[in-house]
Amino acid sequence: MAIGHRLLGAVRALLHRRQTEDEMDAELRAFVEASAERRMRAGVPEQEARRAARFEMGSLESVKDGIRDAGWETAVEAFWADVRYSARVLAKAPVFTGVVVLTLALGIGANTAIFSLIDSLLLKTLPVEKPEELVQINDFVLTNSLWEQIRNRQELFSGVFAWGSVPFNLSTGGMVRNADGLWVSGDIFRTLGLRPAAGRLFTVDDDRRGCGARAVLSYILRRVMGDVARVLACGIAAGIAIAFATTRLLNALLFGLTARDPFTLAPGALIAAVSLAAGLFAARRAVTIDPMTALRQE
Amino acid sequence: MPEKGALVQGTLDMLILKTLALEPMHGYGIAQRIEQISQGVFAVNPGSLFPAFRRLEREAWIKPVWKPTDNHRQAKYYALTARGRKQLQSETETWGRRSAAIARILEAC
Repeated sequence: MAIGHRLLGAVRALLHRRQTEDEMDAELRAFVEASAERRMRAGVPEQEARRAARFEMGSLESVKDGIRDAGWETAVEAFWADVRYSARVLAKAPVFTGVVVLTLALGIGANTAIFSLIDSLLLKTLPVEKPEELVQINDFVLTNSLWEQIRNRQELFSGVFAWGSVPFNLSTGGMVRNADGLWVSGDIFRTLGLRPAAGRLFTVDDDRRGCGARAVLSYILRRVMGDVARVLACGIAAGIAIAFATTRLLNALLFGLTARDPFTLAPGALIAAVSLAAGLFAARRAVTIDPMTALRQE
Repeated sequence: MPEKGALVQGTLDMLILKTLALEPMHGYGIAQRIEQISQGVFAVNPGSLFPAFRRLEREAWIKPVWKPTDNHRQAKYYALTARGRKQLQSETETWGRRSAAIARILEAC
């Protein structure tokens, strides 16, 4: 492959930079010498022949630059030099760097976190089988006997279930520690097509008068928070990266800057723009949400 | 000696490959050969010759060979590779078509 060859050549040139440079020097020197020799053979005095040969070559450095630029390794080297330079400049102004990095990292991190929370709570479809077939019926008082009638007689759906939300007190004594919970009918998990991570879920058999108390614990909060933490980490990482990239620019711009200069507002404007973009996107998606997805908040 | 002119744009690579088709040569030899065979019409300046070598080397059309010179020093020669030979052939064909087309246009007017 030509690309493979080019890549290999460039990598080799980067690794053996000294050798590549030496070879280049030797090659150019040989060219000048050969040129001078030819002139001398043609009868030109040595001094003049050498001068003419050097003149023919022109500036040795610019020829070498031309050779180096023929491959892409100069671009890599220039990039690396830029990175080192910006690291040095940033290290010289630690307070400035710290403020900019922190501001951007927190700004972007917080925005991604908020967005991911909204995303996992509201935007994604319910993590159940065929969420598009779910229908919620409410706004009327459903007594247990009425529910049992519906449950036993309905032919419209492949499954029905009822629920009521109630806070459960988790503490064994002393201060009350409430957890949001639901009373549910037996067919809920089969209807939603959910599988337990451990143990077993309720079935219709559990749903009869006089059955013992059974509970299913959800760990949805932990899962959501895990999602958020992941995205937050990504956001902060991206924030730091962007911060480093922009501080270089800002540093260059800050040279000879006054407080009233519009460039002084650049970091603030950037953060505001990022926040606005993230917020707007989330809000725009949020207002178009099907009410059914409110179920997810359980 | 007639006035030396620059190369026709974009032909340097082809001329280098053609020059190397005969035998491996070093940089100065290639420049000389192009100048001589063109009877002084084209002059190749080192500032474009050496970057071209690097470029062709990266394309794997030519490969460097170190050879001892007359004065017992190692000199960098370039040799045409099989890929380079193929490239030369295709470039020669393209060039033939183009120059024939230009000739036709110039004759028609």
